[in-house]
Amino acid sequence: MMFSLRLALRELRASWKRLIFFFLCIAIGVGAIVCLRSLVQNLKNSVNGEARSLLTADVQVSSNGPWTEATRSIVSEAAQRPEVLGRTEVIETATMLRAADRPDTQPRMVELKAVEPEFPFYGELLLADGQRYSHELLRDRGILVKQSTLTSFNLGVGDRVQIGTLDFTIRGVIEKEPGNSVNAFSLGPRVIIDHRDAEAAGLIGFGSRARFKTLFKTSPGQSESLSAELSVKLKSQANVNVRSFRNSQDRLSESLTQVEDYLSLIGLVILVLGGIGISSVTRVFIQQKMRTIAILKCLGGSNRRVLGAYLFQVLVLGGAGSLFGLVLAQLAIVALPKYLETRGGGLPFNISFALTPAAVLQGMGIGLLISLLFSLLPLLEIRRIKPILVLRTNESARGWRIDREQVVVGAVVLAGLLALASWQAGSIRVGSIFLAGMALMTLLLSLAATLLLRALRGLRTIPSFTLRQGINSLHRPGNQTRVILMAVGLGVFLGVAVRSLQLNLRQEFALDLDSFQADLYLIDIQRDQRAGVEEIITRRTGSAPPIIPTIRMRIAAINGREINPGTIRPDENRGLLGREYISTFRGQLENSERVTQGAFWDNTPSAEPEISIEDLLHRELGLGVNDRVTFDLLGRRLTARVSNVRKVDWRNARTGFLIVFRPGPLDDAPTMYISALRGPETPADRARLQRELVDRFPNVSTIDVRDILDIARDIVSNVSLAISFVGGFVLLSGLLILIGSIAMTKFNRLYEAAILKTLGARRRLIIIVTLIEYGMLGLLAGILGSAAAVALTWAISEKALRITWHFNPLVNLLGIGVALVLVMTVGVVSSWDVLIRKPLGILRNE
Amino acid sequence: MIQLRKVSKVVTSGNDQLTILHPLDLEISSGEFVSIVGPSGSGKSTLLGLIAGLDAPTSGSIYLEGREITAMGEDDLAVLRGHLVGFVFQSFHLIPSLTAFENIQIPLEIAGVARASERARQLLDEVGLHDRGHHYPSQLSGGEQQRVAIARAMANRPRILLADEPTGNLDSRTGQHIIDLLLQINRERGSTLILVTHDQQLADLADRRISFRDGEVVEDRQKPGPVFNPENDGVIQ
Repeated sequence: MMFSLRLALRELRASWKRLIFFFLCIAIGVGAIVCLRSLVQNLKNSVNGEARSLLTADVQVSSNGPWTEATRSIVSEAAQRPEVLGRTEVIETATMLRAADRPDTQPRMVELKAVEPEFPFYGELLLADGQRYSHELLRDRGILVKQSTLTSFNLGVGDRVQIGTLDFTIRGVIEKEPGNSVNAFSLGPRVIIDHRDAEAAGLIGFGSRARFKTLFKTSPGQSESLSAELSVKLKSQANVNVRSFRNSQDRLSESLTQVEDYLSLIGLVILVLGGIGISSVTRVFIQQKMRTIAILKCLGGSNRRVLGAYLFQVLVLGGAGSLFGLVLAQLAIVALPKYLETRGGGLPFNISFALTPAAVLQGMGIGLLISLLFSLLPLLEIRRIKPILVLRTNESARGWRIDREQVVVGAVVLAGLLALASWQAGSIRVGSIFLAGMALMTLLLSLAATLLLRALRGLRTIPSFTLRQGINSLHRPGNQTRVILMAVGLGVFLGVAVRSLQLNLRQEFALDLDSFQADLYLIDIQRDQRAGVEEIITRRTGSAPPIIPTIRMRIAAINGREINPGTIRPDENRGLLGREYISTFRGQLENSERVTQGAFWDNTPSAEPEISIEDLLHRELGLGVNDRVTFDLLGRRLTARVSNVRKVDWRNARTGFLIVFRPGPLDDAPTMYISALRGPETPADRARLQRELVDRFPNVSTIDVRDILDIARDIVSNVSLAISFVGGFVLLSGLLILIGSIAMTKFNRLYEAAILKTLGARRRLIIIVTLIEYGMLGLLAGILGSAAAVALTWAISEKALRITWHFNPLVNLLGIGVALVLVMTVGVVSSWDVLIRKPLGILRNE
Repeated sequence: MIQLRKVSKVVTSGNDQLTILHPLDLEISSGEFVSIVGPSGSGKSTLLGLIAGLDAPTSGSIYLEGREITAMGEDDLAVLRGHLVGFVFQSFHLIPSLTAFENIQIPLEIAGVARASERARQLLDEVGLHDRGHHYPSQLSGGEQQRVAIARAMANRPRILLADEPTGNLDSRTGQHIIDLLLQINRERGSTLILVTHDQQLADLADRRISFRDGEVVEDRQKPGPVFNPENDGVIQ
């Protein structure tokens, strides 16, 4: 053992330089895993510590409509229980806000929260400039707003804003709000007012989309029993939801665990890439060390000892790489909070940024395991090296024999990788899928590389010497062509895929606004406001808008079978069965619709309720002509016959309804009206239109598609920033593998160049041959990667996101170009001493 | 004509300076067959490398056909080698990923010779390997590899042929074939042949024998007249 150790350390003195790049790859992978895992674990700890303030209560009952009498009495009864220490009401709704004293500014949508004095039970509402929050601030029509609202209206504390029918005075600026869970999509910035003002301002009348919440504070440990009892009692109430802080905490930490596992799979991708590099490099390394090994064997070194020595080298380097990875992770985690600050993205609660011991241990373990697993098979070659090699310089070609030990070790390696992937993914299923995906990807790339190389072999007869020599170099003994193709190809693949996906998404959102049938939506129009709204819009836009009746309903039964959470089978589409439908009635088809089954009714009312369903319901719920669907319209039941199936061309529709009724049965149902129109072109005209509407009808909300598109674009660019980051990591590892591979085969290239120089080749010729060799590699890797990226983005766009896929030749060309230039540059730069060294020394060392 | 004026080679290893070649003057006429002998490390291979311009001397100057190669840049040297000098190594130094035929073609293509493949085929014939052209070096025996190397060295009809222990890795019979080939070239083409060898018998074949020891010429003598050689059954050479 001591012999192996000493030998390993001696050998490392000379070999570490050649192997270092692959272990830098390990460092990056380990760094990514440790950093990401630590971050999420920090987040999880914070969540566990602050779960109560996330919910701001121990138990919450919520509903997306006003409390019914039954619900109210159950809740009030529960509030009488001894363990309940407090109860408070909250209303949340999206509404329009405008500057009261500046009639020229455009109203904006805000997310309003109306609270009682007890709010919040947990957590703290932080105001800017050290101002302390107390409910007193909201008394007498006080309002708290976000800085963004002040900025966009150019207002300050003390100024007045109008919401609904009331004017409010700004009393403070919200800095951090408890209970605002990380929400990717909101319609506007938060404002907070007093609970009583919500009703006074006319925000919670019929048809508003306000969300009502009752919050409870319980004595310690009693939250679960209260929430359990409320859940049972409120089960029969539609739209009512009960949560305790504990189950929201469980759900959050469960999804965080998933996030953590998926993120660390990304780190694993980098590590596996590094592993493939290690495996290939070990093979070449052993080939180059053949004489050394043969000499060791001649001197009495047993297979076990020699193998042990080389295994130990790999472990030392793997360990060093992993340690360096920890350093990288530590640097990243120190830099991250500063980066977040500069982007202005505040987090909803305090997170400590530090590496966690669990993540550090995992990272070290994975780094060592990957190094070990991927070098094991190539190291077995050591057994086959015969001591006789010392005497014969030209060793005969060894056949591809596979012996029992290799099979056993191969199985161990495979099992080890599977275990690693499953461990990281937190599930054997995901782990196997991940491993199979990686294997498939590797196989495909390697297959494509083989085919391409074979095709190139056919070019051996072309007349250009330099070109032929360049191509030939790709077949040089101990060449790393496949590994470079794989590493760089994978990098290009991710880079191009991310970029074109981003472009596709952007194109989807940037679709000329002209192509939109409507870019301004009005909602919550009351029956008696129809004429007034129509008049304003006709005057301002020059054309009469459609005013469309909408009725909210749920599916209560299908063909007599009752539908409620208990009766939905696991194979049924819970989302479509349990959701609320906004339906309309009309007598004719829209231009964007066509009937695929049955026939649309004519423009006459009918006595028997009839509906037309969208193709989605036909496909997902199996509904067809003559099926009978029973609806629940705010407590009233209505059964209708499906008389036809429609397909809506969503892209060209102003509005799209999954369910349309034949006029008649719904005429006296509680109806809200909406309108979809093309607003005026200039922002000033749009502002004037919206202002006049809000002036006359404060309860009517306008949704400006242009604003929403802006928000969507932001989200897309944030998400793609994150993915680009990962793609960059993979590209970086690909480059490291490239540099490492070139360093590994440097001797062969030095040797060849020396011979060529002896035979009269100028440096220019050698440079050109090198350029051709690496240019070819870069080109092939670029083509492979971008072809794979085209396939992936097509699949994601068309199948997963269901957006039109656009081929972006520029991105693909750019990807290929970058790969070409990068590989060429790295190739030539790292071959520099090939050019300047004198031939004699190299040839005599052989 | 090869002229060396006060040529020396010193290498530095760590803090130590090692003199491989002491300042040396030497002149070799065109068409001459010179053998260089001496123990390992005596500087004979270094000398050969310097003459081919594969390495630069520490001091002194070298002239090939009247041109001072020690004043030339790397690229000019390469071009000069391509036309003027053929080099045969002890360990052949064929490019392993190219066939025998392709190996022979390289110098022709580098020099931009028209109909390189025709000439390469002719060279293969001359070294007696016309049916082995498509084989890779690893598929050839040592002697065959050395014949390919000689064909390659001869490709551009160089006037100077340098051979560094060309038979060192071969058995004596195969070695004899190689020597015959080199001598034939020397005689038929009139090219200068410088042969570095350990083998006294081989060295004695040359017109002139230069002996080295510790980086210095210890003997430089023309071939004596015909001698009686008892080991060769008394045949007069």
